[in-house]
Amino acid sequence: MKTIITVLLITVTTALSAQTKYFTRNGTVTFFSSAPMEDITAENYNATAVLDTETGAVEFSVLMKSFNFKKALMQEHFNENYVESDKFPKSTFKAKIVNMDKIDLTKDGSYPAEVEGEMTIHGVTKSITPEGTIVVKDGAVNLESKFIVKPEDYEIEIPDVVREKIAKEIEVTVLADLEPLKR
Amino acid sequence: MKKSILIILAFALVAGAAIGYYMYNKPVETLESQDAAAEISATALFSEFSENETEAMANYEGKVLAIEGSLIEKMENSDGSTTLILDGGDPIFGVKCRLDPSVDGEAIPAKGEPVRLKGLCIGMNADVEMNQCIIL
Repeated sequence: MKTIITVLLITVTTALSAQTKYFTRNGTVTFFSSAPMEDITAENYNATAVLDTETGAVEFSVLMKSFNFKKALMQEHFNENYVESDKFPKSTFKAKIVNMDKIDLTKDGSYPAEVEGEMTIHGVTKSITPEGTIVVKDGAVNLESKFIVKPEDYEIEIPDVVREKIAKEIEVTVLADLEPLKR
Repeated sequence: MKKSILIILAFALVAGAAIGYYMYNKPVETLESQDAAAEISATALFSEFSENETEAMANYEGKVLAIEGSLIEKMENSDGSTTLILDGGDPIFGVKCRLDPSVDGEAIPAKGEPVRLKGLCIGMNADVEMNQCIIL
């Protein structure tokens, strides 16, 4: 009986002390399109991200309507014609950091992260393998990544009239300052 | 006669181009001048979304709402703008409101205080989200 209690106590205390989930609800996702006629940026400051450091599982999600553009007409076209936000309100990236075992979260530093995962935009899911960086500083874990998304891969049709204004390859930047998930 | 028609045509063309250019470059407007379509507490809004997201989307998404609730978290975003979390009655999630960058930092109440704001409801992503919010 005593052993059972001891085992139980050990399990409970380890579960409590080992913080493996990190979280943010104001991550930044920006995209940049550079085309002959025009450069376009859109910024989203309310991305949700969760990282489980034990498994390396990482998940991002954003509402498409929280992307802010400078021009009203662009924001309207983005939501109504291109990503069809009413039909597909959310975009997600469910992935795994495959070299998580080489990242020491107890030691400050900048670690390269190899990421493999599934990106869903406009209702279309694709496997992608972006490279990222994990920066550990004073217990905080920051994720950074930059990669290319092609609208045509996600069945986003860009009409010929605006072809000169929207790039075929969109550069996406992701920044997330994660904190231990409090319960 | 012919000349005057040409002048009118040229004028119309220039005016049309100017209007087009203006419309194309028009910035995203703040919600300052827009009236709220509904007034609701943050807890009621959050519970409507958690109980039936489809119905709540149909009722509130894309609408300007005036909401009121207790401020439980204040976050600074990477562009210097502020996002507030209003208590939704859930231990982790609530109503996440990104303030319009034009909002004066002094006008934001302290954590734990009640806050009333107007913003565009854009849906649910664990938290119910509001964009372009201004403090009322």
